[in-house]
Amino acid sequence: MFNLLKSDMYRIVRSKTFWVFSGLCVVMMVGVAAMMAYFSSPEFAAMVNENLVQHADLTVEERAEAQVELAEAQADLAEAQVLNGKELHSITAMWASNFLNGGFLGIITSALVVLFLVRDLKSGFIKNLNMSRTGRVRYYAEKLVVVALLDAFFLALCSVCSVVAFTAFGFTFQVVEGAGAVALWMLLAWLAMFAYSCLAACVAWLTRSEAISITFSVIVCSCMAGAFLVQLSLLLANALPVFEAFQNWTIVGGVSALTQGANALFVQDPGDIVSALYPWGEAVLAPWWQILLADILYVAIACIIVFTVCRKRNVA
Amino acid sequence: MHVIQTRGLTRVYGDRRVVDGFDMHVAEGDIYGFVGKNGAGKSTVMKMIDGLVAPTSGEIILFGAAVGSGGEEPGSGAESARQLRRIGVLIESPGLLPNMSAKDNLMVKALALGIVDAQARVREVLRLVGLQGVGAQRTKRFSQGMKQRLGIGLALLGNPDLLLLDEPFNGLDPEGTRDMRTLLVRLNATLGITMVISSHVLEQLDRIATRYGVIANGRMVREMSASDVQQECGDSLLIRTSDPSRTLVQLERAFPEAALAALPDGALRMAGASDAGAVAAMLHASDETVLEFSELKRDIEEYFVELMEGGASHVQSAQV
Repeated sequence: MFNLLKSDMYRIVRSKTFWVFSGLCVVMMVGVAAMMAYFSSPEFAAMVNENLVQHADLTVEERAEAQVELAEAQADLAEAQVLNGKELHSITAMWASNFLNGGFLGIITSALVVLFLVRDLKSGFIKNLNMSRTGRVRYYAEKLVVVALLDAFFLALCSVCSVVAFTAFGFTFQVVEGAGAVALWMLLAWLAMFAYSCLAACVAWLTRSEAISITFSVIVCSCMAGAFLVQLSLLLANALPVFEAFQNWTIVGGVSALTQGANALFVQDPGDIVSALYPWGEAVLAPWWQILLADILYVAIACIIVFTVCRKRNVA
Repeated sequence: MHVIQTRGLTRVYGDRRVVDGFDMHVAEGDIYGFVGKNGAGKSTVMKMIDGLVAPTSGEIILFGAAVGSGGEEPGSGAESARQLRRIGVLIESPGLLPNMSAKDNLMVKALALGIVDAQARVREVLRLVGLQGVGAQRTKRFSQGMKQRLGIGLALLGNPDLLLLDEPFNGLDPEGTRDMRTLLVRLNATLGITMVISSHVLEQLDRIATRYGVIANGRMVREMSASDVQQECGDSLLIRTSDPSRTLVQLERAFPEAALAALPDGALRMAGASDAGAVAAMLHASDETVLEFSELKRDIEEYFVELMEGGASHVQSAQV
């Protein structure tokens, strides 16, 4: 399996797709930081205020008076606005809103994974690797390891790029989280992405179609389908209370819990958990346990499909 | 020793038996010409031998060890893995990564095989298949012939003892075909690599094959040596006289061991006669008016087509 891993690493670092996706991550993270910096700047606030005054239903005298007051207020509050606008809640909350919650990382990683896996089959390169039954188990296991490594790489890349970019644009954080909490948050974020990628890998291996697999990535791994199902379950929960806990067992539920930041993962009081993280469901576990179990469940389901169905399919 | 032996190998897709009770025997050192029409089941047999497709039933024995049996992928355990690693394949189209260079394609496989000095081996294989000058070029820009060569290179990378080559001459120009043929013969002669080659280009197979297997409708019609084929396609005589019926009787009496056939245009075809001179002397002595007397060599393509299409009865009688 180590040989296969070496081979795939060689292949990935020489693939244009990998570098294009990596570049996209960097551009996206820097772009988001630059956009946030602009929106929180005094120039932008002044532009918004001026626009409001100009479009308000005022007489000429009232308008002139309002503009004088506005200029004075801007002079007094300029510094405070800069400070408040460039202060984010926490580093993990920033990560979550930047690349996790909106589905950016999910789409990027799962799309790269499916392209990588389907090309092996579509190009027929897999035919060059003569495999016994044990060899096939190794092949699929190694591919899942590659998927895990790609998820870790892109999570790390997006995290580092956004921290560097936001720091460079002068942002600060209200809450400083401990290293353990940040590490746990990273682990859970990685596990959520890995769960999505494993499901995408199953679709890729079962359908062997780039179009279907990419569509799955866009709809499911972007949290779109999950969010829809959660909303549906909430509606159903009015009639059938069993659906109340459904969100807690979805990947998207875990992702939305991660948006609260690392410290919220350790909230001990079940009442707090319900109000802070599970507003529609009744949590029975601490949030980080709940996320861990739910994501492991999806990874396990994907592994069962891979090693019982995909492995037995004819290669060519 | 048999390098490949299959017993009752069967593959069913839906209600269609693509391969049906197929028995094959490839001895060590053979260049085995695998002949059959499109859809006869050649590629499926090769895929089953290589473990790409699981047989529905039957048994595959590679290098004396069973590696695959009905209903499952090739067997588990180190032994099966070891046997399969001794095979190099080029089945249907070459399995190339189009956005990577020829060298990188080879490197990816070399690393997967765990070849110690992968770079050196890749250079050696590129030289062997004549692609050393274009190793850095992306394979999507390759011609079909170059892709075929690289496919052979990938098959050779792990120093295999057995090569399964499905239509290796596809897309090659005459010079490329000759080079490929020379390469295959050299690999067989110098490294002792056993080869199973399926090809529609029977003229090319005829030049290199030492044994043949003919498949029709998923069944093995016949296995034979190259000398058997030569003998059966061997020289025959075309005789045209003014009285073909009388000549036929006279020839049957004089050469009872010969095979005689009356052709639709009234000529006679005589195969198996030891000496054309003796036949000519007999005709002269019988005072026949000889209109045509010439030697015929049977076309190998015609011979195999006959075998594939209804040649089953011919085969049965020949085997008896």
